This record gives sequence, structure tokens and C-alpha cells, in this order.
Amino acid sequence: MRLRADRSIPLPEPFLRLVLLGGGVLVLLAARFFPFSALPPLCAFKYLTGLPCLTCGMTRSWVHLVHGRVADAWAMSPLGLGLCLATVVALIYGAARMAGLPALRLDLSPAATWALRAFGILLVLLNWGWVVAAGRA
Amino acid sequence: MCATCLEEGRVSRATIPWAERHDLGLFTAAWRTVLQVSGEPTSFFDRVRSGRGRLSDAALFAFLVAIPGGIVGGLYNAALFGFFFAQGGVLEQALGGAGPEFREAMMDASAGWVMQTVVSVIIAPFLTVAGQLAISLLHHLVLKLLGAATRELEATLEASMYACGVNLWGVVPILGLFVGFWVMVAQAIGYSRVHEVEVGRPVAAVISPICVCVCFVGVAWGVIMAAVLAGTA
Repeated sequence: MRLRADRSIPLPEPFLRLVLLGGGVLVLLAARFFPFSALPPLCAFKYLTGLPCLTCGMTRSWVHLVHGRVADAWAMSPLGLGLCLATVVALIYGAARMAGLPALRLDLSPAATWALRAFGILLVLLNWGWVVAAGRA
Repeated sequence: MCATCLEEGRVSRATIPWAERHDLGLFTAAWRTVLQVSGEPTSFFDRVRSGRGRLSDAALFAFLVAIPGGIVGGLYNAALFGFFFAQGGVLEQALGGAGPEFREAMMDASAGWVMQTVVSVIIAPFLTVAGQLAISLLHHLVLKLLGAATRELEATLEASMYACGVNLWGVVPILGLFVGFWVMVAQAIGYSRVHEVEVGRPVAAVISPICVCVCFVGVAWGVIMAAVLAGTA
């Protein structure tokens, strides 16, 4: 596994830059200003089974984090907190790329690629276990 | 068609109608593109792959095709409003004349409804494109996970935007019920052709976001049915 800077990778076309950066900013602004707390619970899985679904708590985790309530965000959904932070990092990376910094590439062996995928799935399942144990809805 | 032939100009690069819209005209190009996406998606997406299209072109196409759907949706909304407004008059008569407050409330409701219709017509195409872009990002993520993303993100998004051409048939009553499924089929074929992989993994990528929900609901349904059967046994 090796992280390297690569100047040969071109920037995406302007429209895609707009979609990715604009979309990222938009979801963060929505988490900050949209009154999600006024909405009723929307999870059909929770409604039918009484158990939270795989992604229950993620929106509220984002809302807590962008309001500066890190502990609440973690308690609501650790994966949601991680995704929100990843979005912020991705936005900073995208802006840095547009400012002329080289692209970063992670070189992985096939075995490391599969290990990373398995780790990702494990994280999602662990997060679900956390959310179920906490009784989120 | 080989790369050398293209370079030497012995054959012309096959293009899609939308790429020739400056010659064909906007509406003719859009219509022919819709017909080709709907009727011969495999050869269409082969040409998308071999072309040098831009994502913004594809998004413009998806946006224009979404406009008729927004207008028809707005008309349905207006018709529904008309129906309720007429029923309001009937209701007022049945109540023996509900008075000026009732009429005022009806006028407020009608103003709100007209505004909602206008806004829905205007923003529907934007929402369609934004929604498809968001879902295509998920599709590309799954394609990556399955090792089927042989080209960059732009290729996936471009194929998805062109697949939205099928949405135009949503304005046809009855046919509109199947358009969502039809778009998914076009997307799967599109991903398969632009990434040059067999169709299995693109199908998995397209259905996986909804499959998660369906599986959840399926599990929930199984739990409920088991509980019901246990209760009746």
C-alpha cells in the first residue's frame, strides 16, 4: 500500500467539479440549516420491524456534527460522523486540486483491495450493531 | 472500427444524435437520442463510449428530457386542484353555505396550489438531474467495489444521464408506470457498454441501492408474516 502524488492525472471536467463540490457544500448546508428535526421518522424498516435500518441516524449524525455536537454525532451514528468528516476532507482536497495541487493516488495490491472492501463492509455492520444496540429511530 | 482507422480518418467516429445537435437542431437531436436510448441501447452506448462526449452535454440532455415530465406533472396537479376546487363548492353547498371564511380558506388553498404547481414545473427538471447524478455516484461506488469500473466517474455519470432519455415516455399514461424500471435497464446496459464489462455487475450496481431497501422490507415482511402465522397456528 503506497500513497503517491500524481501530477499527470487531469482534473475532472468543469461540470463534474461543480456537481461534486457543489453537491458536497449543499449537503453540508442542508445539514446545518434544514429543519430535519421537524420531520417525522421516515424509516419504513423501523416502522415495520421496530429495529433501525442500516442507515438510521446518519442524517441526524450529520446535523449534530455541523452544529458542533461531536459526541452526539458519534452517539447517533459513528459511520455518519465518519462520512461527514470524509465529505469535508474531500471538499478540501477538491479545492486544493483546483488550486493546482497534484492528485493523490493510493496504490493497493489486489489482496489489500479486497481487505479494504471487507473492512468497509465490517464497519457498516458494526455501525448497524451500534445503532440497533442504541435503539435509534 | 479501430483506433488507427479513426486516426487516419478512413472511417468517421460514430456519434450519437445529441452530439450533432448543432446540425440536427436541438429537438430533432433530443428526439432521436431518446429513440435510440429506448430502442437500441446497446449500440447507442457503444457510440457513447467511443465518442468524446462531455458530462455537461449529457446532463443538458437529461434536463431537457425532464421538462415535458415536469409540465405533465404540473398539468395533473392543476387538474387535481380543479377537481378539489369543484368539490369545495359542492361541500359548501352541502354545509348550507359555510360563509366567507370557508371561501377565503379555499382561495388561500387555491393560491398555494397554483404556486406549488408552477414551482414543481420549474424545479422538476433540476431535481430529476440532481437525483440521477446522486444515484449514479452510488452506482459508480458499487461498480468500483465490484471491480467493474474500468473507466472514470464521468463515464458512469454520462451513461446514466443518457439513460434518463427513457424518462420522456413517462408522459404517456400507463407507460409511465414502467419508466422507472426501464431507466434502470438502460442504465445497466449503459454501464456495461461504457465500462466494457459483462452486464451482471452493472445490474448489481443499479439494483443494489434499492435492493438494500427491498431486502430490509422483505426481512420485515417475513418477520410480520411469521408472527401472524404463529398467532393463527
